Amino acid sequence: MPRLAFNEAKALIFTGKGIEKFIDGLSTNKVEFSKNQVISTLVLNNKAKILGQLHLFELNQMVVSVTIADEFEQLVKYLKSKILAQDVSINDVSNLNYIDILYDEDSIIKQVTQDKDTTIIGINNMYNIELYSVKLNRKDCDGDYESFNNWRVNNLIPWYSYEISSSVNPYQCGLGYQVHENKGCYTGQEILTRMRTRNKGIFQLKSRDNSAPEKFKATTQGREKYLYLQKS
Amino acid sequence: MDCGTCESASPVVVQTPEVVNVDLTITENAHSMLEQAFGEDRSMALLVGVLSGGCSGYMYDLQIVEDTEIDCQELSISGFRILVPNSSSHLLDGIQIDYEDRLMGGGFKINNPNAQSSCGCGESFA
Repeated sequence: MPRLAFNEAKALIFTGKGIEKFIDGLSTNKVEFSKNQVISTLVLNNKAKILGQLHLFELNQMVVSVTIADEFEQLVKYLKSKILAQDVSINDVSNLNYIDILYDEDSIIKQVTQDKDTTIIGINNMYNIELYSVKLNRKDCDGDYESFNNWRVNNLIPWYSYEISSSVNPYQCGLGYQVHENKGCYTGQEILTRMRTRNKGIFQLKSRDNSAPEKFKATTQGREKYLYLQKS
Repeated sequence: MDCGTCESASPVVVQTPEVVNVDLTITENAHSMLEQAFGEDRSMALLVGVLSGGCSGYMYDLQIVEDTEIDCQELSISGFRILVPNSSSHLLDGIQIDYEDRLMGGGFKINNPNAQSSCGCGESFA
């Protein structure tokens, strides 16, 4: 399984009794923790643009978030400003951990596995993310971005700085599956609900052979195919 | 992973919002409704708080309480005890508590000069 250093990702620790309600109230997906389950959800601004993506799981009475954001410091500042009197604390432990992506294999785990120093989580049955202490030697990152992008194109996986950015909402970049349609209010919900009910501005992520005669604007270029977004 | 509970971890950073001495007003309609709600008993207090969430990021939280463990500032307005948590005082300074008597969407409303935007139902603001 190729391994890629996921240097764009950060690790946040949430502690306190109000974590589930806190994150659920601020993000797009239903946040209900159960043992060894990973929840992927998005934090949006009031225009429904993506501030950050959180892959969440419980670990020893805390919640860990593998976090990807265009402006990570802004995202953390935003989250902290919402704590107020709630029993929630947020700590950035990115500098204590390496974060790698493992991709392009059949053996994708569906849950969370951990030992003393290493935690592996499965993301939406697509790939694994491994977190391990910087006290250990960095593992051999034998993957490269070209092969990773090629794998993404073949598996229709949107990615930061390609399809995903802070200037799009989840329905404009192929992350609509991380929007729960029936949960309570969260920032950006009104806009997303309007888009869904009117079926306006929703894009689907598609791939096409490079040699196909009809060309679309590529968001990610692969070796044989490319990714593009098309209005549904 | 290293979750930061060992000695190598950096300390947890807790952000404490600036505490503001809150000034708030109550409209006549809201005053009448509070009189109905409290009756003669003025030992109870109206807790005016803010929670995260809602369509705009913050939600108002109104409760009638006897007391609270939350660190609050206590105001006395028109004979009513009003409690405002210090942690959300910066979001509530200058608000007006109103009451709208409507078949749909009625109830207590907060007019907040600190809000840059609010959602359609009026319960959430940013």
